[in-house]
Amino acid sequence: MARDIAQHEPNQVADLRNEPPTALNEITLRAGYRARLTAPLFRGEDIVGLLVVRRKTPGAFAQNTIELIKTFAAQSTLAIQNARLFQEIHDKGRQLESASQHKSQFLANMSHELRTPLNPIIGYSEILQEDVVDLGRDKLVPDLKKIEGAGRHLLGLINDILDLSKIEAGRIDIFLEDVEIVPLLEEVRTIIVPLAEKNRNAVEYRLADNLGSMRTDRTRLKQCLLNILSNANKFTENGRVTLVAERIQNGRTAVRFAISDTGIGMTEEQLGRLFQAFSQAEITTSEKYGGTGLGLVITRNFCQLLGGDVTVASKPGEGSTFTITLPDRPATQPQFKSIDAPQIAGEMDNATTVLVVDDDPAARDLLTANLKGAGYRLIHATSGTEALNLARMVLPDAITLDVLMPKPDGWDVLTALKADAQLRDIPVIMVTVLSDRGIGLSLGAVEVLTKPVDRAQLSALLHGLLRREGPVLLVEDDADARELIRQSVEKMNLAVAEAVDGRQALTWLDAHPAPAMILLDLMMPEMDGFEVLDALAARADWRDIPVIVITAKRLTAVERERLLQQAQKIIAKGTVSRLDIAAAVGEAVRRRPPRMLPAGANA
Amino acid sequence: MTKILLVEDNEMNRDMLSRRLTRRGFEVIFAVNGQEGVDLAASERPDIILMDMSLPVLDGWEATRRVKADDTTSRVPIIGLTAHAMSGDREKAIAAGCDDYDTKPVEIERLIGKIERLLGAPKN
Repeated sequence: MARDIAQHEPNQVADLRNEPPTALNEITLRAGYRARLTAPLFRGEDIVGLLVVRRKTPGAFAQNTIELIKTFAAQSTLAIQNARLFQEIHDKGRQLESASQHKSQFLANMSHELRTPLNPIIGYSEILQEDVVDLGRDKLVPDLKKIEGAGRHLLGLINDILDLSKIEAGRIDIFLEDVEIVPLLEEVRTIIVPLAEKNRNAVEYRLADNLGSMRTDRTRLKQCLLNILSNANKFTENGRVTLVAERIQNGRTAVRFAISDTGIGMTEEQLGRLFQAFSQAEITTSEKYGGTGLGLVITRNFCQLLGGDVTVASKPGEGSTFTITLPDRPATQPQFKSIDAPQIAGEMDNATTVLVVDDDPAARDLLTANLKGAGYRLIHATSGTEALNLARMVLPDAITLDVLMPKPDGWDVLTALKADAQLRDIPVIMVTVLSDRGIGLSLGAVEVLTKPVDRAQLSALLHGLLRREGPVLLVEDDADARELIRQSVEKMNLAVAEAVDGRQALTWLDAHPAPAMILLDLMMPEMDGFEVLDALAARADWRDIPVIVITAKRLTAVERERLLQQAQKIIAKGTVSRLDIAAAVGEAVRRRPPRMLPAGANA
Repeated sequence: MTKILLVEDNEMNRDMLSRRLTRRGFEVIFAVNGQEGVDLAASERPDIILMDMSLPVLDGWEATRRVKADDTTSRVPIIGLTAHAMSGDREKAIAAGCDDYDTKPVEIERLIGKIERLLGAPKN
């Protein structure tokens, strides 16, 4: 065989009975086979596997059979190789993304550290300027102003670098809201006019009557407008800076901001380098005219993130016009320049917004990394209260919620979400991330009802979630509550099976086909709700059963402590495998009933 | 004289802000963490509170909520001070109950403008 393999040829044995009685041959014979054909799988000169064909009748293999096996072997090798390569690419992609996350986290931390001493530098030089004037030593003011100016310049640089690194890492979060255009432009004017006066420039606004409001990120838009306007002012003296704002219909309703100046203008060459960070032209101009050399790059990135762009026209000596065009409301998700993580199977809706709630930045980062790759748009909340406020404002498509947050803890938030008529339908996935193990752990997308159970709510949930035949399994230790719920469910013409605690529930599940749904009380003796949820998640045939969790409206401190302990116990077990959170979100969004928008909400 | 309660844990920030406010005729008292801020709001009855949002013991959001939840202090206007103007920070501040918010580094004239606006408003 070795000889054949060395020549990349399949090796055949016509009758194993005539071969030396090796262990392998004995086993093969005992299984009833007499003839064997072995084709090596080669990658270059290395054997990566064997394709073995066994036949019960002895005899040589036909030549065309051997050729066929050789072909299979070659194809198998390619397939295995491809699978390995895809896995490598996938892993490398994750590694790169992780490295990128670490880099931006580092930069974010460093930026905070760098900004901290700048506050006193700028602040105290301002105070000293006031103090020396009081002391009648006005001549000292210019020197102090230089210190203040340098401090501010440095602060600007740090902010720009942080913005740029976030853009590069695809980590800019866009916060969309309805913005009244004219008031925003007026805010911008109050900042620009004093600057313009220093260069003896006039500022003129020409605003259309029908500007109204647009859906965009207020802070970023302001930043872009200020950047362009301050540039216009910087490169103009004794001249005029004009802002024209109007609506245009270029396929979809858009708003155009055209900012022109009567300044020095730019050559073709300068125009070509304009949007590059720290290009040569920018460096010399920033030395002469001030500025960080980064502003335009950031402005263009933001405009594109908001679904639009910025263009420029200019002639040397005649001034420049920069035009920002932004859609009235972004139709598609802003484009992130993130490392392309492999697409996860399943239809991913690109406009899906996920609210990530976690007080731990490391956990948030991990969730962000996982969800970003699937093309979701993310919003973050660091506390339960913030989560509720943001959920009400943004109405996300799904929410991931950390079980172990400090007060208000995840269960509080979950209960509050489910009690709010506007927010009730948003699928919530309870997650906890263990930053030391990097494991995303989930208790699934949970619906919650509070006792006493409202019949109308129960009915709506049941009808929304029921996908299959079968009874409703009710797991509840309190006899009265059980009876009430049983009656409610039976009134809906659904059969009810009962269990008084978690252990009974699992026994029932083992002995019967999957129920249509499970109503599960969390606080039970013996095995409690968490353990049941954990057990459900562990079995492929149980994983898809919709679960509605029932809890008391107000947990006592003891009960809350117990809930937390139970959650931690499950998490400490570490038996639940790594969660594909992005797929879980996709599934939860797919399953939810179509949302009814409250009257007056924006589409 | 208008009494301002400044809740700020960073010593230099406290010093800088209070000096500039005192020079302009305000009386400034300090709290160095959120809990102290809530306590002093009740015991000192300031005319307005400047609340840094990142505080030890009790953070600025929670301290704001508690001041607004207490009937004896709920009328006191609160200006939230945040480290940088990130999208959503304004909404967070308003959601917690702040009457206005400003960003650090503080531009003193802008801040004073906000203070005067809030104090000039009739108390309802």
